Amino acid sequence: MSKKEMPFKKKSRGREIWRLFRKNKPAMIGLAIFAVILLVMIFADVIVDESLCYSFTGMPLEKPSAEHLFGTDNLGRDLFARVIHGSRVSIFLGIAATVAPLAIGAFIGAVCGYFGGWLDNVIMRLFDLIASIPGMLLLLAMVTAMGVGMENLLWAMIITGVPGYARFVRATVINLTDLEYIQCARSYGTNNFIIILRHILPNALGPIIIMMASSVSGTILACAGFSFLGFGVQQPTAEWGAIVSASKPFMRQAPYYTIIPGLAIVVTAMSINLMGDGLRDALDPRLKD
Amino acid sequence: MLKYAIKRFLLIIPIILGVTVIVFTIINIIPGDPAQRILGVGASEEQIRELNHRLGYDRPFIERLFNYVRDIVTRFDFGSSYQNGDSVVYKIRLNFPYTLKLTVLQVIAYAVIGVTLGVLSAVKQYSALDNVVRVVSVSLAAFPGFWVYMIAILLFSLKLGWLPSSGVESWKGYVLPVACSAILASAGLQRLTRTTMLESIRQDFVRTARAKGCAEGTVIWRHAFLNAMLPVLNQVGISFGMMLGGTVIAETVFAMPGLGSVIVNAIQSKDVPVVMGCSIFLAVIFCVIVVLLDLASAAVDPRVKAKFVKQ
Repeated sequence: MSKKEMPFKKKSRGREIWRLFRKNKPAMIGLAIFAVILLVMIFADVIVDESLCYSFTGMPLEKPSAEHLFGTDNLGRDLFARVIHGSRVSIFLGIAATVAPLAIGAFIGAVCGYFGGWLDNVIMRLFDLIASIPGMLLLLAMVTAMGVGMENLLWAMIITGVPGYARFVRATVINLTDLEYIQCARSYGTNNFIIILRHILPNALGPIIIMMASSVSGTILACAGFSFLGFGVQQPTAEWGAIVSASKPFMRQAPYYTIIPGLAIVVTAMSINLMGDGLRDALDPRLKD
Repeated sequence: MLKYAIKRFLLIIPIILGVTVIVFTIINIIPGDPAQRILGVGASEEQIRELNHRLGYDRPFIERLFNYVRDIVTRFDFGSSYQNGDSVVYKIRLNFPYTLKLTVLQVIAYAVIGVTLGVLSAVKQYSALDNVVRVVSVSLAAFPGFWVYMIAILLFSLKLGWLPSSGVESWKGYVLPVACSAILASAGLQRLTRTTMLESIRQDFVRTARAKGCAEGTVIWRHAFLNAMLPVLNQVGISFGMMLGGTVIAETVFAMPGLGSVIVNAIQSKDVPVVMGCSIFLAVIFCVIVVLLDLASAAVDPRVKAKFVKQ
């Protein structure tokens, strides 16, 4: 018997998603802006030397000029350097504080959803309880316990984030566990963890990616907000929320000092949101409104 | 229905206990010496031991947890501040009314803006208004609250001089924090209202209402909206609880009194009992709101009621 040609060319899933994504104009704009921001992040040292973030090169509160593109802060540090290098801290923090709890939550959620039983019950009741405390209060409590600082903020975001993500992934996994192909794999005697890793998680990946894409910008805002309150990234480290916070007493003399770092947050968050919406529409067209 | 209500209310007790235990555990289980943290690096070992003993930190964790819960249950005593010895309950009583007032105003504004825009953009789907509202509401999700507050101060207080930039002496002090947070938060509610309304508008009973000659306003508000209201009402209730815990940033930026400011100050001065008491208080209120919402949904919607109340 000769090998029969497939009548249709099989499209890879990745390429199909990219095709749908590319047609979405706002999403492409978001992608372009975010690409620029990523380049700025990566080549921050080439654009402007990091030492300028911390050296007092100008007079306090100089207006934007050719020498200091964004002006200087109240201590005479170059605001351009601080905003450019601040991108590294702010965006890294936002992405890390989304991906880490999501990965941990996905693992716990998948295991709970797949095995069920008393362990699932105990963990989920505990997570229900944690989720019944408003996130802001939980974060404040964690900061009280561990002290302020960027590393502690990251830990706090992980611990407060895990329950929500775990419940979300668990719900997705429970729907998959009953499907025939999983039962089939079970009947072959496949190892449970291989079923979770090879058969369940890849099929739950769509919703997980959508969840991630829609959380990143919120997390960036939350982290900046915490640094703004003085509980996250500490001075003199350049971070957008912390810079806005430091500008507060000088709003009248130097409005640009408040406006510019905030705009950096808004542009970043908006580009990520546009991309996230595009990704959601491409991965799951049913959710499109 | 009464039985269900009683059962639901009794269920709050373990939730409140659980929330208390979790917050207490989070704050207390982290290794480190509380007295060391309060006194700083310069303190002698003698001083640290003495303070730890006075605050009860030399006793085992379980015993402290038990004492803490017992004091709350039997005497409604949340402990007292490290700084000045004021009881936490006194601080809550002094500051909570401000936070509550701010939150209630925020929620009213939030609900009015979100629901009105949501219904309008659902009724006029794909119109210019709908498109503008949708673009604005998607964009709003990218604006950090603290920055919007500051830009509003910059514009309306410092440039135009219309409104005060801080304080609550007159009603004017509430305008900026309420307006900014309501507008930012209403984006989500607007989207939810739009989606549920779009579903509701396409139901058969709406067509029937039109066919029997109801005025368009009656069709939209009395028939379509009332049936789409449940998820919206739930969202408003949840947001109320969230905003209660989230006034921290508004209170900080606008230098307003309230529980949020108390918590921020307490964290800065490492005043653990105050943070713990205020957080537990707000978290418990949030849980009670959620239960009340469940009951309200069951009371107004027979479909929900049927799920819980066995005939």
